[in-house]
Amino acid sequence: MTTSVSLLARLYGWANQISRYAVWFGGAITIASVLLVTFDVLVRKFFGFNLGGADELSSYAFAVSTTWAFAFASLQRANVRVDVLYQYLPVRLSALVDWISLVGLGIFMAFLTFYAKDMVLASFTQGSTANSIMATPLWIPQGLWLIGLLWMCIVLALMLIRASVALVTGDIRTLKEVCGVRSAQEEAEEEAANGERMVKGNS
Amino acid sequence: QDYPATKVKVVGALSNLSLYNDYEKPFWTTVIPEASGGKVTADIKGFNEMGLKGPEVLRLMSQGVIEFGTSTLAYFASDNPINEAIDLAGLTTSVEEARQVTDAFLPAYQKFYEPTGVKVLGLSTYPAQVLFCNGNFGGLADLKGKKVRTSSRTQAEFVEAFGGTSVTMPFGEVVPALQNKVVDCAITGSMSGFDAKWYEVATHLYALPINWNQQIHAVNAKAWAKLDPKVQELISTKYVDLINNIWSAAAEQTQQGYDCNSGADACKAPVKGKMTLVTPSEEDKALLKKTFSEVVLPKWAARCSAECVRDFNATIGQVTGYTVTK
Amino acid sequence: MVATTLIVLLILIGLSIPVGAALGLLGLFLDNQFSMLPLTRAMGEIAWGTNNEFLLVAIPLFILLGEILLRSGFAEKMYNAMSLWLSWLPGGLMHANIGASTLFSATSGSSVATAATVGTVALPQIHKHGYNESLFLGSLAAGGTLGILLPPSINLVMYGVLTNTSVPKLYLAGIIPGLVMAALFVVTILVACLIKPQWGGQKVHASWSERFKSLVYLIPPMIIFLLVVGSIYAGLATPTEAAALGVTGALLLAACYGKLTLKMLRESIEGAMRASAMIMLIVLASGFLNFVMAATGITNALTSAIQGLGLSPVMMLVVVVIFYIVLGCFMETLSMMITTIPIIAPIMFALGYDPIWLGILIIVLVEMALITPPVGLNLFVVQSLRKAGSMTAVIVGALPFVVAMLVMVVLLSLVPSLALWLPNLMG
Ligand code: NA
Ligand code: NA
Repeated sequence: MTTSVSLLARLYGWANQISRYAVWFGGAITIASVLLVTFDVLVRKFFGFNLGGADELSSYAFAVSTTWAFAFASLQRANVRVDVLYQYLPVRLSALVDWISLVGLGIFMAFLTFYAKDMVLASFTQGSTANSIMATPLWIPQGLWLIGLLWMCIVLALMLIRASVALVTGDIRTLKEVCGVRSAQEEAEEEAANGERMVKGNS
Repeated sequence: QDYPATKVKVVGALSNLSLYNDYEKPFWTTVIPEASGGKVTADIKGFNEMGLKGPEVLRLMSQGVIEFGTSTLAYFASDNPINEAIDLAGLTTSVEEARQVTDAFLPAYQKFYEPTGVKVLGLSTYPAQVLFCNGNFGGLADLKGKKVRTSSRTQAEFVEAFGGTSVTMPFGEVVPALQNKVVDCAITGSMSGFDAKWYEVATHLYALPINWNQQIHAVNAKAWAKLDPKVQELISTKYVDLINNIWSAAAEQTQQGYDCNSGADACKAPVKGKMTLVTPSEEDKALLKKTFSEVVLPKWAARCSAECVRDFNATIGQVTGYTVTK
Repeated sequence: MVATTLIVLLILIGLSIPVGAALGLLGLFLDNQFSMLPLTRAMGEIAWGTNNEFLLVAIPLFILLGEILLRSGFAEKMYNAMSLWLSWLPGGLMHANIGASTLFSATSGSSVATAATVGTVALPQIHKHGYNESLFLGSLAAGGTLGILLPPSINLVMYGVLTNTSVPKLYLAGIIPGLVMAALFVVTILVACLIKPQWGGQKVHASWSERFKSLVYLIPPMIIFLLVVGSIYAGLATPTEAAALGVTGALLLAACYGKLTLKMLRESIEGAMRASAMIMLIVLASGFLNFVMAATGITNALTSAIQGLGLSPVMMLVVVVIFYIVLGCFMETLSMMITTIPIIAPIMFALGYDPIWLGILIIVLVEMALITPPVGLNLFVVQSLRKAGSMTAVIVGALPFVVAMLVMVVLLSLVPSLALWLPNLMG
């Protein structure tokens, strides 16, 4: 039992690390598209031509960076949850609610990923291309986008396993760490701490 | 005649345009119910009202998510270039010609969509897509060096064939963009440009239809097969009128768009534009023919299948005189 | 059908299921219950179509812009400059709070970031000058809300996308109401301090030469404002492109201040990507839900139920305002907008209300939601910044500003040209 729990904790650590890399990748392509769009605007203004496709590419980058950040955000419990009732629940009941929420998120993501997969396959088999000069084969950005969804499902499964074990063994603290609501206060505290660090310039 | 009580679901064209409001919606909410003595009724909403973007309509129809549906054919160029065949920018320059081309190619589309479980009911059209420019514009040669808002690949290729730069942006952003010279020109329906008040920010309207945005009206084959043959018969028959009406309306509205944007007396709108209407010269038409057959058409043929090019030559080629080798 | 929808939604939300998932699950449930067609199959297509939307690219860019900007460290100097100019008024530095918030709003697309930044630099001043703590805190929470009314604004972009309204026009429309609102805040402080002079703390006096010298610190925010907002009207860029210009500008500024490091970039990215992913999860799910509701006829049923009330346009407006005020007490603001606007906006448009004007009105109501208890994100931000003391002080201090916002709602309703004059000038 102990070894399997520690294995789970280790897997969890890896998932965290990989999800963080995924976010950096999303950030990198976002900044790349920022620079591309800036370049495009400047040459259009001053040289009267444009590369074309900066908007198309940055829309793809946006879509991909969105799903690639899903897992990271979930691991950090950044999902927006309404805690109007939740905050008054006794701790054990609220733990159960946390678990149910995680299951709910998992079900939705599973459906979304399944039908997203259908769409990407359709684009692939039909050889669909963007209706633009670039004529990007759509399965490429869509496929990358799908990878983010798939990774989100894997991470959710892992979170669910860990939360279930914690629920069954009555380890409320771990369960809250995995999927408890970050109260609005908690969130605001972090925002404030960020602000402080940033303004004081020691970030 | 007695019809079984039937209710169908329709995803219509863009809900803010005349084609939907004046033709498609009344067709399903008035014409068909009245003709069937109230037995055949429909729920209809424009695809944009459903939160759809348009290019997914036929896929969703082939999956059975949508029963009856209408969308812009050229959107599906993304899935297969055959969908551009009748609407290549520069292919037809009058509504009569566009109709002939469309009718000639309809069987090719029916054949193409049949295996995907989609039955094509007909092809109608929006009014002509024309150029609105802020700043002097005398003819196609003036496209050189201009930034032009386009909304499809074929339009972009057309603009670039004349040395312009194509820019994509949402319809709603065009007015400020024209005004601030983010773009010099923009292409849209003559009447939609009027409705969106483009005449306030653009000075020249070039009266040459660039393309049409033909609409494909179709139905999921299984949903169709489930309908009583009498109901099928009714819808098919009435659809012929609907398509004809939309085509005549498109011709009228194209002209009305010219009249209203330029402030001609024939325009009945209370507020009119003061745009300069530029009529294409004979040289311009010659230039168009040359550029279309040498640049736009070969580019398209290169991306379409051999069968699709053959169909083009055999049907559209007969009507227009353009042929192309792959 | 409508009742079932509402009950299931309330249960899902009540269970504190993440809002995105709750909306998606509701969509799945409605498809299962009320539709003959396999609507759920459209999920992938809709999610991709929504996620691959150039207008929405502005959202991560604004968040990234804010993160980078804050870390480049000019906020403190900017605040000091504002205090030199404004602190002679009764109420002293509280006016600097409003002034700095207004200025910072012109570079920030988010209210929470505005409150966090200005709050951080302002809070150490409370005890130094003997202010009434509560009102001082309230001015920070309220001033921060201007972040989404003055352009640029994530919420205005979202409204533009949801209702197909021009974002440049919305930006223009936000400027005058934003300034009027800032002025109302200043008046609120003045009135409070005239009634209770001891609340006002000491005034801070400054010489004119000090004041003019301080103007140099207003240059960085001006540059960003020109890039993110000015570039649109100068004919350089569309709103999304302008957001990208802003991020580039912020990167350059940070580099000038010697703050552009890999570590700083990484932290900015993590913050921005996490926030925008969570917003987008809600957007994707609600796109699917809207499709299911439209396809099953629930949207129509809901709309005709509301229209069946037979309310006059004015009554309808009153109902909508009350609805948003009540909902705003309990709900996070972007999810509130994303879930309600697709239903409410078409009804209001049909009653003849102007889309641009309605957008500004809704933004003011959303700002109010940020400072009304029990759930008011700006209240929480300010409370966490001060670390000690009771939350009640912040809530009470924000109340006068809630009243100012109500006045703003009335002003906007009586004088729509406050919002519409500038965009109409543009044509
Ligand atoms: Na702002
Ligand atoms: Na609130």
